Amino acid sequence: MAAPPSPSADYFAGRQTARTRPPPTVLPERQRTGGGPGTPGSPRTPVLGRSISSQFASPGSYRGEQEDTVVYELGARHISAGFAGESRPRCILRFHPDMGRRVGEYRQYDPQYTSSRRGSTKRNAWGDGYELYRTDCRGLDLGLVHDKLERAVRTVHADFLQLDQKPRKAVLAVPSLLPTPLLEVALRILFNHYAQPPSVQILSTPILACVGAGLRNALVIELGWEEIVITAVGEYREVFQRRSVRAGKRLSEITALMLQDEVKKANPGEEGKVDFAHAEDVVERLGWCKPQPQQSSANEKETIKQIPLPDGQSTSMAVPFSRLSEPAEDLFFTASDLQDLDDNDLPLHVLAYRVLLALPLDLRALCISRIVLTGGLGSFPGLRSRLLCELNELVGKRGWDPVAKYGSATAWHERTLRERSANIAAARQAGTDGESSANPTKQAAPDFVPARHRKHDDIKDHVTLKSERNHGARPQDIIVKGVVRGVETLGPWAGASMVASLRIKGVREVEREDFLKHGLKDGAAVY
Amino acid sequence: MAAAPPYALYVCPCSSLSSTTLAVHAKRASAAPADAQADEDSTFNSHDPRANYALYPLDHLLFCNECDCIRCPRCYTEEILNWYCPSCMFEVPSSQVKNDGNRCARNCYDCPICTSALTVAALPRPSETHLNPNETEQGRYILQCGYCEWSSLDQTIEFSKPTKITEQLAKKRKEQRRRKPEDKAVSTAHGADQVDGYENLMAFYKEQLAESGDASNTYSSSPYSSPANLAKIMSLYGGLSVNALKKAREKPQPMREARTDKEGLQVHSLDSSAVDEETVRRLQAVDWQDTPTHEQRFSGPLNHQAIQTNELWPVATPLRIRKGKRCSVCRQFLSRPEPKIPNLRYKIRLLASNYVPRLLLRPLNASSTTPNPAFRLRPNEAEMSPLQPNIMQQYLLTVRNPIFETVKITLATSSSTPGKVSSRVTILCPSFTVGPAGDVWDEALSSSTTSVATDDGGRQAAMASLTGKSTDEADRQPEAGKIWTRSRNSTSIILEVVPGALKPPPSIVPKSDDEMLAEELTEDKDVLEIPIFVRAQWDAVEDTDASASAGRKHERRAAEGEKVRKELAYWCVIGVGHIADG
Repeated sequence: MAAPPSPSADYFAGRQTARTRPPPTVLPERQRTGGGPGTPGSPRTPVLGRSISSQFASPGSYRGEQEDTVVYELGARHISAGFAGESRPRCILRFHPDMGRRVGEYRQYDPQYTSSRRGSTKRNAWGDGYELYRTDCRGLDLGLVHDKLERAVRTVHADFLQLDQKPRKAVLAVPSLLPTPLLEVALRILFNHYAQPPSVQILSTPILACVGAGLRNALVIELGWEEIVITAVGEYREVFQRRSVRAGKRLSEITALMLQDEVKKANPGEEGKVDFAHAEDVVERLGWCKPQPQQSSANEKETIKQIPLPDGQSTSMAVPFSRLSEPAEDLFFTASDLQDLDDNDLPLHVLAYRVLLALPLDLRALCISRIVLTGGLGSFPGLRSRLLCELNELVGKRGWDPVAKYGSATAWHERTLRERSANIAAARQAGTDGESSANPTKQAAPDFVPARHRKHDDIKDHVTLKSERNHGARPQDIIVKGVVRGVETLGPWAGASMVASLRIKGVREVEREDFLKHGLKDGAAVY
Repeated sequence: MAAAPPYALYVCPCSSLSSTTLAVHAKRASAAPADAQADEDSTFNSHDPRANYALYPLDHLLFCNECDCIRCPRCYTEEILNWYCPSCMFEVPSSQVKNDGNRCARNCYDCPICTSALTVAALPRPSETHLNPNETEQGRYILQCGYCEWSSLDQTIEFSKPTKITEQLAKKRKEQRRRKPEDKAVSTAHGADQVDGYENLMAFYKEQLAESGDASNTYSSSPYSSPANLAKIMSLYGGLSVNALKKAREKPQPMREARTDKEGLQVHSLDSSAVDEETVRRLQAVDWQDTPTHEQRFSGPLNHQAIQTNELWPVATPLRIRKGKRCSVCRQFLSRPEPKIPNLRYKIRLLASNYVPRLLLRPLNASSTTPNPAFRLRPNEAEMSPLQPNIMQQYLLTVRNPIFETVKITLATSSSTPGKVSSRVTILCPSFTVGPAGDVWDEALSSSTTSVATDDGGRQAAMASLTGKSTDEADRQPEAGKIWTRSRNSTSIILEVVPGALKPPPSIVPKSDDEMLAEELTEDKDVLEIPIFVRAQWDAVEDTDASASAGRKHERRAAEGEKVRKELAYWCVIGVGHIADG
């Protein structure tokens, strides 16, 4: 159409060649109007790849390709946004007190402006102003959350997404068990924003982390801001979950205390107040954790890190590098004296162990070799190896016995164990499996009943048959089970991006019209 | 604080400031009417944390002349007109914007350390070939920051030609990824795994979805995509029914999980702790200065996972946009710039400062005439001096009228300011009129500006006009109900303020910790801010096309030229100054 027709070509021929060129979506329109001289009068079989007439074509089946979805991930500290089908978000916006300044106030850019930070004194809770919300919604000013988030979403759109007016679907990834009032606030902002998504699909981050790792079952350990959430995911469903407050917020708090100690040690006169921003900076830039539990630090020479003082003076304080790992070790791997009172008292690996213990046997075997670390501290240096090590040790020591201490019944317990291990040894002599295991408790160890005495025949069971056939088909694919193993994930945002671009239908999809009319239906009982 | 006090900030009426905590929510069913009532009656608290999101300088607000309402960023929608790079000022077509990641795809790059613009610099030739340039030898170029001395040599990146930097950078990046596949720690830090892993996983999922029996997915681009379509077609063209087909096919196996590296599975087993140890060792080796701040890491998607500053990549300059703004109620354009990038003019621009009476505050006894605060570059020394608590101060509040009608202004404020430090405020003359804004020449040509004041200025103003102002000014006393001065389109009244004390008077009873904490002041809480509710009324001549518009049926009966009463009401917060400690 763009090329000028050669003078020899007559008018009709020119029209006919032009007819094949426009995109298929245009075609039915022209057919219905029945205008063009080349249009056949009678119906005919449509050719694949072209449009068939509108009564068969569902609307939107063509636009599908170029239609893009906006993917948001919302956390207590950040919002990240981008487009489905991309591996990274376009932006990660972190909440910061300076974001809450008045319009037209530029004081924070003044180099002379010593942020007196009077806002972050003991009056406010630790990290107040740096987080969007607390999960404890009592007394939380939802209006303020709304204002903060609205401004952030506007910034995201104006500076990073820069979309035109076309309405696009949105996917919102939120932590699981995000309080409903907060979710409602988030949805209201997305729907009322001028981008006007027709629907928002809500997904939870543990599942997405699982998708981002390429797994169906996983033990997702989310090292978040306020809480560590350990979720067992089975077949893309959250099966079991436990939480602990030993997470990022606490880590920065402990680090601040550690730094204050160092400051006081260096110059005893000073008070050495370390504010939130500085403590977090230290955690992010130099925080680490020993990859092995007992690492002899004797042979290594101590490295001294020069860290600038919190009040921005030119002098800096010297902190040994090993000292910088202490907060994380204390937080994640030290048991408190109060044994077994609460999830919050448990170290990370023990909590993970408990989650695994609560799972059914089959799922536990799958999950333990699919440990996925995600969240803000998910890539904390050294943490991943350390966790796997500790967990492996714990499992080796305790096996999968839910009772930690039998007290006076210990003798009985040991005897049964001995009997059990004798059974297993006998079974092993039969040569059924070649696995060697040092500790009998590590085995799942069912009561051993010979197959012929069992009521239910495992071998002829149709499920077994099917699964065995499957195994036979692909002998190279052996499902890894029962070994402590970690799996890397691309993160919840990337998972959401994949889900959206593959156009998987989410369970929870909120339509704009519905929401504006009725609000959140399921959580609406609260209000 | 937009500027140093005194300043005035305006609240868009769209923002409701009733705090919605969960407690309110829970019993909202019963409390809703009372709540709304309270919202209407309560004074705007400028020290509320939410107030920061509701206050705007007047210059940041727009005005919809259809709805007669102030419009703030919350109540207008934005439409992007064009995208351009702020560095090279080239416009980017909308089809390209998304693929380039909303960043300039030309040669514009920002320094990853200090965010200033990078320049392409040529590396000097080695000395032996300096005077004898080889024909075949290519030039060597780098990206260099003129501010912080960062250069792309830190990343060992050199370019062979000074143009098409983006292309060359992408090539370098790919090379770097390929070079270090075994060095996992490094590649993780570079975020290469993210891209590769994502692609692998996506390919795997696509294959699995296709395999797992969802026939429609194989034809996702064809008209046979939806089962309903397929059923119709099958029934049309005879033969088997879809159900028969479905039965014939074996039940699909559920999609399995990724099992190999190629499928996107990245395993971290117990033995592979060496990777982590390597990361820790690298962390041990770097100095504080060589670790990136989170601003640097979030500067671009490529830098999200950097551990050291020398892993940071130059960041392509993010595009800026030019927006048209529409009223979200009546959809008319409030602001629309010219589409051409170099053109800075606006086609439509309905600024609030052209419609909304502006409030100005200055001390009554000011020795020098203070310039308009809009033109002030830095605060005067005199203005910075803090207010003494419990000493009455008089201020001149000037209301300036931007529209061509005489406006009747009613001011209201609560007798004591909300917030922790409560000061007493009295408006001596809360109700008055402000003359119309006209041609500036009118004022210059009219012989006496004060002659206008006679209509309700009272005897004092009349006397002033007779005796001449300068002699009277010195011993003139502010009087309740009297206007201070009046000019063509502005009227000044007197405001009496008694600043409250920052600390309550010392008491003998020792305080608990909670009380001590409650007394501690956060930033800016010592600023005396007076919320004033401004209500402006005027009679506007309704022009015919506006009255014929659909939304104004009730006014249609107004004959052409008939006056229509209009009203505008809003909160305005006036910052007076810091209160002295003590």
